[in-house]
Amino acid sequence: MNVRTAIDVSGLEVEKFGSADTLWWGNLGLIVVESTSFALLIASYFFFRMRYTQWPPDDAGVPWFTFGLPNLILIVAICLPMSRVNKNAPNASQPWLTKMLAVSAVLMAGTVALRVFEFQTLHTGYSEHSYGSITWALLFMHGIELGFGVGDTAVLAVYSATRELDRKHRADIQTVCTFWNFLAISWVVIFAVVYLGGRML
Amino acid sequence: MKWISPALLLTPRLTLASALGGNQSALNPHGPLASRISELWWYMFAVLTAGYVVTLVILFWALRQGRRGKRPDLIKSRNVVLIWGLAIPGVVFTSVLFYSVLVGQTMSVDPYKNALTIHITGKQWWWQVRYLHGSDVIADTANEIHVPVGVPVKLKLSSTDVIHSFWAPNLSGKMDLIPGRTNETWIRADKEGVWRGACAEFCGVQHAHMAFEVIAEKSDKYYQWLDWQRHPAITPTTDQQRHGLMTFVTGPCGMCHAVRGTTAHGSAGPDLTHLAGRRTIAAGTLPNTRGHLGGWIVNAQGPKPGNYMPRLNMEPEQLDSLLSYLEILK
Amino acid sequence: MTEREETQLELADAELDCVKAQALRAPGLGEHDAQLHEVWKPRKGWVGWLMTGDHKRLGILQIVTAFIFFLLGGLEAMLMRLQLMRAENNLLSADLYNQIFTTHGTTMMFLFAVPIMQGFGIYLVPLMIGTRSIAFPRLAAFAYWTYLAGGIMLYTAFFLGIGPDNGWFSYVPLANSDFSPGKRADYWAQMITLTEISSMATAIQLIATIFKMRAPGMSLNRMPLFVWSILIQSFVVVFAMPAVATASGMLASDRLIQTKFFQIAQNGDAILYQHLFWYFGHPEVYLIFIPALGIVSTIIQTFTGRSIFGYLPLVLSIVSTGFIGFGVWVHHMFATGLPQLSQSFFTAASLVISIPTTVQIYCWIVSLWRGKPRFTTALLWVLGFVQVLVMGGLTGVMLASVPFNTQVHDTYFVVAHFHYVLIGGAVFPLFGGIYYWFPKITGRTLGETLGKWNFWLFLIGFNVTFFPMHILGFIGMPRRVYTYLPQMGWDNLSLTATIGAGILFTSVWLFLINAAKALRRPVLALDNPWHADGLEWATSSPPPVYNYKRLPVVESRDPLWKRTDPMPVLTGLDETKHEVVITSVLDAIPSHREHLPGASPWPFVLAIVVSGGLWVLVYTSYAWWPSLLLIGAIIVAWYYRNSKTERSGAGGF
Repeated sequence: MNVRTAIDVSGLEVEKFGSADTLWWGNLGLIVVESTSFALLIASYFFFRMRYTQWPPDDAGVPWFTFGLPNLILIVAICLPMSRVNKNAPNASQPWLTKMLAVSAVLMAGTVALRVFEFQTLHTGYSEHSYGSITWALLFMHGIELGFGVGDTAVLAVYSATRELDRKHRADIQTVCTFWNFLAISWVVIFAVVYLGGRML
Repeated sequence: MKWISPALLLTPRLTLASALGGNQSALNPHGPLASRISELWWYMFAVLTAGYVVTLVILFWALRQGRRGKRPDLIKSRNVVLIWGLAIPGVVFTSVLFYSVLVGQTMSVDPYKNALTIHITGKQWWWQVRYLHGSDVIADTANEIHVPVGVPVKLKLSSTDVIHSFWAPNLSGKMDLIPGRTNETWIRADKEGVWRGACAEFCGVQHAHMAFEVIAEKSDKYYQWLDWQRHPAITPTTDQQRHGLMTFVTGPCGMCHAVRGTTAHGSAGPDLTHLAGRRTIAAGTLPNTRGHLGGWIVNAQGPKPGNYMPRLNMEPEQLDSLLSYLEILK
Repeated sequence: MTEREETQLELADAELDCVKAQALRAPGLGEHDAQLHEVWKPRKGWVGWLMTGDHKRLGILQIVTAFIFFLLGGLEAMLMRLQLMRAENNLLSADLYNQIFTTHGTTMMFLFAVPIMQGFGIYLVPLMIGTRSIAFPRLAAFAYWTYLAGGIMLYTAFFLGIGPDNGWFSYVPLANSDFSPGKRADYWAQMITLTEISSMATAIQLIATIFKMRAPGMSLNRMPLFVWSILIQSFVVVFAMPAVATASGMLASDRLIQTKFFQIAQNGDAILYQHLFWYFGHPEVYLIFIPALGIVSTIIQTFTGRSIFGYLPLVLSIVSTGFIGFGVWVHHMFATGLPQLSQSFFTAASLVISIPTTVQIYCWIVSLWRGKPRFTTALLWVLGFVQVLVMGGLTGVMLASVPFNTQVHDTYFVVAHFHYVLIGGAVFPLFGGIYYWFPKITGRTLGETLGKWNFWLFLIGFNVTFFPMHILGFIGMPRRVYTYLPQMGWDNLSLTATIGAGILFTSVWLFLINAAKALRRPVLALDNPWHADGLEWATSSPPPVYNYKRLPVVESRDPLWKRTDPMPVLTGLDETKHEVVITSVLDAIPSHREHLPGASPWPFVLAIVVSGGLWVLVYTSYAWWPSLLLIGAIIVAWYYRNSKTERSGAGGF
């Protein structure tokens, strides 16, 4: 056979964590798509601002912090357990991971619940005017992502409790951690736009 | 070379221009904006066509040279790309940029703050044209824009339904009519004449039949026209015309159309106070003759299917008297 | 050594390398091959196609589907030309014409041009970078089935007589429920959502594949130009497509749950829609055009028998085209009355973006000059591309000029321009690419004589159809009109265009005949009929399910032409599993091995549920949360099912 072996890869490990993994890149691609969507929604928010003399418009109140602020704190706080999970996912014991994931999933479900109440404190309906539509859209689109976060984490928690985690599944756990960091960062920005923009612009 | 006179050089251009003429043509300019734009076009046409020809010639020459075994070394290859692919296009495109910006400045509305202003509103699928004095409407017509020759006229463009685009190519480029916004542009007709224009933004099922005419007249004729437009409609004199008026105000017509001086105040369709003075009906679709008008009234869905004027069932005598009335609305 | 001798030597080398390449192919089924075949083989029958994660099968599905949509779009174009061939023609009603031009534009942009380019990417990229699969086979399957569902949705509406009729751009307020009652615009919006999900998934897929799965040694500066162009296209997709998804999502929610994004009375904004749409819409042109640039470079390199001149400038040109493409969208909105200064900025940007293309054109001219061109049909398409694209590019330069743009915007001049750019810039290279890679994909060569007829008729037909449209635009003919008055004087040029369309029609027929004839011939013996040097030619034609018996290691930019005999390969992969080698992003140094999942019904099921959910959403807004729950349930089921049995690689691919 007219070939020569240039490289032998049998010594290389199977599955790696972090940016070496293809899954990490796929996840990053998803995050880029989501970020672009959020950025465009935020740009639309400022675009609509130009059509109003008063912001928020007459028939809408300023958004209250009642649920928004606690939710901001909670979403960011969940990054702490998630970053510990992220760091230890490759080697940690399975019961520990199960526990951490379950706690995180419950906390995440709390963010979704708070999000539902947040709509009330926007003091506008989605179908009244473009201000209402865009603020609802920002909260809703981010809320759907929170829902995905809950789902992912809960499924992984159950999986970890019921089956043996291999390296591939441990990499999946890291993916959820990265995704939650993205959700937290993007929420800091969206929170500032919706809640502070609704008071200061 | 004496025999190449400038006139000879101009000939092909003039022949081409006349072939491309017509009263809805960007290459038959009769206003300052359209003229500047067409000069810009001829400049771009000249340099870019040259660029096109040169590129293809170089391509075939290169293939031929290659076939003869005369191939460029690295330095020459690089230079060809740098000069023909980078430097020359760069210079040409920059010249286009500068020329465009210069021409673009003449499109500015600012110098014409106090100019004669015409308010044009796009409707599905016709143009409402209004002349205001203060906030009073002194003329309300449709699909016809009367302007005095040689005077810059400011156009305020808006829409009450969807986006339309105002385009009278002999006079100027396009400007969109956007609901919720008012755009401004200006035109100046340098010659008496009728210049046709059309909606250029897709605006629904009858986008194809949404034309208008710009009628450029000598100043006195224009003011005469404007003055006449202030008047309410002519009162009918014969029984048949009176019968026609009755049909108009009591029948379905008055629900959508207004005729000032009568009880017809509809505002969905064009104001018909001076209908008979207009050259076309159905937004430039049909000539304004008795036959076409009658056909239009009973079957507006025929020539312009999907427009908002319903089919009307009328007795022949009724239609006849209605037409006799409409014909006097000069 | 003279240039000629040098070239002859290179050609001789190429032939020698073809022999060398046999080493990488699969000659019959030895024991080793049987093992690989067993692991990677797809399931039997049509179930195998529904469940497949094989990038070659998915690529073929996508290319064939997109080509069928191209034929449908072409038939619609033909109907429009017949309607416009004379004034006040009654062949099509206004309503039908509007549905047809909308469906034509939507089909060509969303169902043909982007998907077929991505289809070639899915098929060719793993072969070109020397690996056995794409990164996420099941995501690819999901992407294909959603794309197909989007196309079916559009055409179902169209054939039921409720096709969208607001143009492929579906501007508001025309597309608002006030002016477009009924469900037509909803179908358009949901179709956009489906095809965008598909395109974005494919783009992420291709980026991950290209970054992480290149053969060891294929550093970025050794990557084939086609792979570069697919990489840049994928980046443009990722950043541009969310904009149209946002716009169509807002439109759908305005129509469905009465949000007020585009309702003027409630301070919604029609111009915002245009910004969102064109922020996507212009890059859309480039993400169709950029892969075509890769095809052109590939074909020129192969048929001149010499490395392409200016690899670096070509790469930089593609990259900068992708970047600048995001800064020119406002030139679609010059007539909306934006401030002068911003218009000048967009003029400048729109002119600058022509420069990378002129640089590339001259790189190709020099490459043809330096090499020894063989005028096969594939190369003819490339030469035709130069003739057509350069003219379209130059009218594009004209359109960048604001004052001139206001004259010809939304007229037939623009129709001529973008057909020169899109057909010239994408369809010509695409046909070239089809002639070029047909032997790779099917193992059979398309007929050269018919191919040349196909090409010349297409070139002539194209110019006869579209050149007169420039003039029609000048003499006042707006776009999207279903008829015109006899006194406008547009008849003769319109009739000419219709005749041209007839020639184009004939030409495409010849292509279909050519393809049908070729497919009836037996598989040809040559694996590398063009003496090309891309890695995709280093395996058999058509490639075995596992792509390469021995995975190649790359030591130069021209892996088959540069003589390193014997061919370097890698060993040590576990061939009882779907195992691939993962390399580093920049230098392609092997980092680890990874196992890919096998065949699965879940991507297909998920695509059905997602598209079904969107379909129901057309009729009732309450569908959103049951759909989301169902989608979630399916993903969970998918995750659990695949975890147990299929990750190891058992059960086919």
